[in-house]
Amino acid sequence: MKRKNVTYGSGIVERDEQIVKVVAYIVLSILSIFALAPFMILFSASISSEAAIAKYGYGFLPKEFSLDAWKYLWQAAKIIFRAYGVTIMVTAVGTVLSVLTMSMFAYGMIQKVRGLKVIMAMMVLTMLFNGGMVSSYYVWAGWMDIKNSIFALLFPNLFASAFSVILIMSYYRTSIPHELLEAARIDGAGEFEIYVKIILPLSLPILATIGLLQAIAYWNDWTNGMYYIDVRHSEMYSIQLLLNQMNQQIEFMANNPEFAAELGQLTIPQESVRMAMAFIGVLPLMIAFPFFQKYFAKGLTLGGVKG
Amino acid sequence: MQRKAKTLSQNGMWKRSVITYLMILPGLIYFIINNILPMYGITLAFRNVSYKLGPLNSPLYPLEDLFVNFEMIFKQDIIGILLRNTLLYNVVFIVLDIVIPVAVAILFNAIESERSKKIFQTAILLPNIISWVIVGYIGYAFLSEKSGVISHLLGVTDFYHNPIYWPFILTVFHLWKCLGMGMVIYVSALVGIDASMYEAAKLDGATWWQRTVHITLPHLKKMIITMFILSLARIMTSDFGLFYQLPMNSSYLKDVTQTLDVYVFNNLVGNDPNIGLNAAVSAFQSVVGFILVILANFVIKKVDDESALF
Repeated sequence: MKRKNVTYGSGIVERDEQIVKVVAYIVLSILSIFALAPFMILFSASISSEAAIAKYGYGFLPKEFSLDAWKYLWQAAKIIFRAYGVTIMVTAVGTVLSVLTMSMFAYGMIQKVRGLKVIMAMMVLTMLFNGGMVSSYYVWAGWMDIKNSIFALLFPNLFASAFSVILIMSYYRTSIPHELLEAARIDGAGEFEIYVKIILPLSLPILATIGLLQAIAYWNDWTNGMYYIDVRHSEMYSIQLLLNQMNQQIEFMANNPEFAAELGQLTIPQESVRMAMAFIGVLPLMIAFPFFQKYFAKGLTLGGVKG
Repeated sequence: MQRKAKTLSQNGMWKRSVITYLMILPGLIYFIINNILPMYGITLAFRNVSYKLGPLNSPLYPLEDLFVNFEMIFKQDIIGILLRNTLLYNVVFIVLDIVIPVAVAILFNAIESERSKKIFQTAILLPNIISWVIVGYIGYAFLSEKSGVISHLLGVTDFYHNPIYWPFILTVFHLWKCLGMGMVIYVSALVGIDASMYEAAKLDGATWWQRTVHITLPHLKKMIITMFILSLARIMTSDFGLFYQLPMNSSYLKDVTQTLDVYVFNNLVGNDPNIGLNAAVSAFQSVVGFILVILANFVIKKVDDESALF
């Protein structure tokens, strides 16, 4: 945009615009460093020697380069890769399942068919008022019996929220030309065919945005695993659950000095290993994020009302 | 002839209904299990839960003692602390989550270069996509007794033992993680402002501050109110990850880090879970949030009809 050559009332206007711009750059730079620095610590610590960490503490830059932490983790590679496998599987299957069910549900819901208004009203009600964590737990663990199965990681998060369904519905209503659907119907296409051949391809923007938010939610999920998967079924642990478990063990021992003495240093992952593990947990997201942040931001503003 | 056409279209209607219902079926089943059945689970709050019968088969309390579980909430020694923590943190977060993201969004908007904007936004949003488990590790990297960055810097070694620091620590980490999201939401609300309004104001000699106060902020009002009402719905709920992962469940910190959600969770996984009590806490949280949303919306509607949420 070219600035028009207008003389404003006084020079003040131009000048304070410059000042604001400088302030904006300074503030946002500080906030960006503030946001990124912690990730730097994770990485630096993972390639620092244990002795250096003991002496100087964690830092933003590595001290006394050492790959001990990574070598240690390599020994546990089987567990880590398995957890990665679980995470990737759950994220992929969960996201696809979630987007398909939600979009199909949303397409059904915009039809002019009896009874849908009641379902809609109930959906809005559950947005405002819900059963809470305890009763959800008893429904899923008690009645649905998903404990210690892979469904525990897939199902409780399947519908992001009633609100995402409403978002998809309003996208169908506003962004897909009505004439197109009518024409298809005149040509004798059934509703399911219309959904597959017209609705799905044309609503890719919204489905991709919601799918992205879902994928991140699945990748990051640790609560469902914590509620529904017992320690003895740790083969079903995702990477976040594994991290959670490690953290709790360390903290449990840290609070009970006798335990620490009894079990010895060996079971407690050392300081550098800890950070290497956390780094493994965030790395894929960090690498991918710059490429999808635009869509993520879009998803947040859509869901902004959702909070 | 006409009659035949009618049956045909009725037939078509019927077929269409069946297909529609088949399409929503998977979603509907899921919705019933995940959202509707837990509504029935609220009855746990009114049951005398016994393990023999299973929680959902336990008998309801007789009518005159129906609220026994709720009364029990307020008989817990720790309830005062739980309510104080939950409410105070939420009040602080609600205020900061409006003031700081709005300020940052306005500054962000003052930047013209798209490239800089993209870099800043990517950096500031990154903490938002990280799980609370990882944030727990990051917290440890800063605060751990032996090797924490801050511990070494300030020579303080009792972060995980001394509650005094934690209101501040929790607030900082909350902002660190959530600032980006708030910023993006308010930036998107700023996009809608007509640029010619600013041009006109500039011609009249309005300073940046005057333009911000008289054009930008009024424009953001609706979004601010929406976010405010929605956060009221969660006033009794806390961000479980923040309060559970960061303090690492350290028993020394309970006084300032335990909220209702953390208490419910710890009680459920503990040795002697009290399901009726926990369900009562959940129901209490939902009811208070629901009432507050309706109330806030009502008040806002009285004051300024357009800004109300519904």
